[in-house]
Amino acid sequence: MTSDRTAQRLSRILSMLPWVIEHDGAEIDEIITRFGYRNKADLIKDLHLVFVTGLPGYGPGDLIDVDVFEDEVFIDAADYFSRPMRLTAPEALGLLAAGMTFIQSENAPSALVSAVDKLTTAVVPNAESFVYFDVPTPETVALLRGAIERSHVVRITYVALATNERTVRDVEGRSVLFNLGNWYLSGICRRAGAERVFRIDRIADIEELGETYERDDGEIDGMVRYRPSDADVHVSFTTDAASDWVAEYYPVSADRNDDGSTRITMSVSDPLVAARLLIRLGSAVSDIEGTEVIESIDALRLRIRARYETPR
Amino acid sequence: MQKVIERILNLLAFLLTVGRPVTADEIRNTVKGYDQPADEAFRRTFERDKDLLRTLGVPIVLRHTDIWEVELGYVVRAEDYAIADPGFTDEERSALLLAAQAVRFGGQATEAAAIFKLGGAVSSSGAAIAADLGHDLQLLGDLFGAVSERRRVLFTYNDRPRTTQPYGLGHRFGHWYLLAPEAYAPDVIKAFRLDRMREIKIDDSAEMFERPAGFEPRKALPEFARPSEASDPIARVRFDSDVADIAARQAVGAVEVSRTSHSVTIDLPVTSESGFIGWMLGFDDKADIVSPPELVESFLIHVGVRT
Repeated sequence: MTSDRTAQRLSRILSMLPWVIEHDGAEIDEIITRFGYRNKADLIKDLHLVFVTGLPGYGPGDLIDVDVFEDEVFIDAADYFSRPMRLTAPEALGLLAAGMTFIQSENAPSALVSAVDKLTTAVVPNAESFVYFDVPTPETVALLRGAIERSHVVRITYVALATNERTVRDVEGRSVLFNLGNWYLSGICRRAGAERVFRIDRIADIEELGETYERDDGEIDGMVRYRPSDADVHVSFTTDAASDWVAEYYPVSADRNDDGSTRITMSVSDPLVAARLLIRLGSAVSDIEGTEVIESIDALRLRIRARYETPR
Repeated sequence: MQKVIERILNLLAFLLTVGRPVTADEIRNTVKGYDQPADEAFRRTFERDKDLLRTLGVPIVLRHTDIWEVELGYVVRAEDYAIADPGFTDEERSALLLAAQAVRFGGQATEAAAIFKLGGAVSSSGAAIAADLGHDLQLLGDLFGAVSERRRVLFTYNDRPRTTQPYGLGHRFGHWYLLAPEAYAPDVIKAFRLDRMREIKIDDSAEMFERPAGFEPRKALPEFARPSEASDPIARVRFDSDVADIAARQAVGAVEVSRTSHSVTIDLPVTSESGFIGWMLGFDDKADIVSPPELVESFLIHVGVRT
């Protein structure tokens, strides 16, 4: 079997060659940084390997000529490897989507705008006529991003999704995330004393404070995940075919019944979240099992009834 | 690994320079590294090497070796192998790298290999922004390839087999869509959600369809809610002050009607009653519909507090 490592190594060699051929006398250190080599030894190994390859005949005039002289690299007799390889479809889409998403999220550096311009001219011609990434970005995203880049603490007024409780929190932002169609702020919430994720459309007010903090520059994976916990409550229910979207939007386990309905089981940290969903689904839901959620549905109904019965 | 890479580099160098389709036999006899004594061992080695080159994006194709069309041979056309140098500056490459590291697809980032192919880049510190556009990049890439090469895509959607001409691909509201008319009705462009497409196959025959000039993927993507119309009912809703600002921000076309120390009343068009009811439930008992009475009735029946 050919391993992924072989593929990665070969791909890097085929990418590095055109650049070194174009930059005759390129410095070893620069090649290492530019192409993500771990160290000089790894690069030299690759250069030695290239040195013994070439065209049939495989004599001195047929092999690729590689010279390393005082930490400068010279490659000759490899014209056929002198132009950059085309991208695979996932690579092209990945770069375009990344570039275009960043541009839409505002404050993109001009270098990125011109890079995407070149991508859609030379690498994937006319891509803008057949792909589109819609990442609607509220103004607050740029504001929060700016604060994070300056490592300034932000004071946010947050209206909790489950309870509608309004709290004021000082947050040491780590990143602004776009996930599943929503924007989020992630960072250390001083009130909770731990990392928290806030949905940006639930932030009622933002104030950038002058206070700075040490920002964790580690990798950000861009995912907002549901984190299961022992304290979660569980609920099971049956939905009709028209409510299939529930299984696509929420982390649930779903089993299709013979009559076309689906039995869904979900875990939630707050029973109210499931209660709202089930009331929303109305008559499309039957056979609900899960004491906490059923109690929460009843309590929500009572609160709504009280709201409508109280004269205002 | 060393020997494998040497052999594949020799193969690629040969295919890029030979200028004509060459048979597997000729490769075996000419290219260094294919001296396996047994036919089967050669065949396995050669197949693996070809597959690996293809996964890296090297377009190895089979063509007839002469006009008599008796034998088939392999060829890599130099113009398909390489791209014209896009002329990226180092700053542009670094900006692309930073974006590529921050934007994921179902947790997976674009491989650094993509940037290496464009000349490599020096990574700067992480951006204060990240995104996950969901879905599997390999499948997205395959569909993107089909869209850009104008190849038909076949799949099952809502339990029905479809044959489509994919004009475009787009992402909106956390979902990916293939924008395509079905083969039998080229004028109606539908948006097929990727996560609902099953048994996807890309037609790799040489036949390509025409994408109409002026096609705009943005316009073919579904709208989140249809734009409101003059005939839509207007709901008057009273929100407690502590959620009113969030509600006003979320509601499209909302107009503030009045404000007291503890509540804000807004008017908003109802484009979908079920969507509106779901949205109202999110405010729990911190909001109530003031009018029209039939909407209040409908809401209370749906919620189950009135029969």
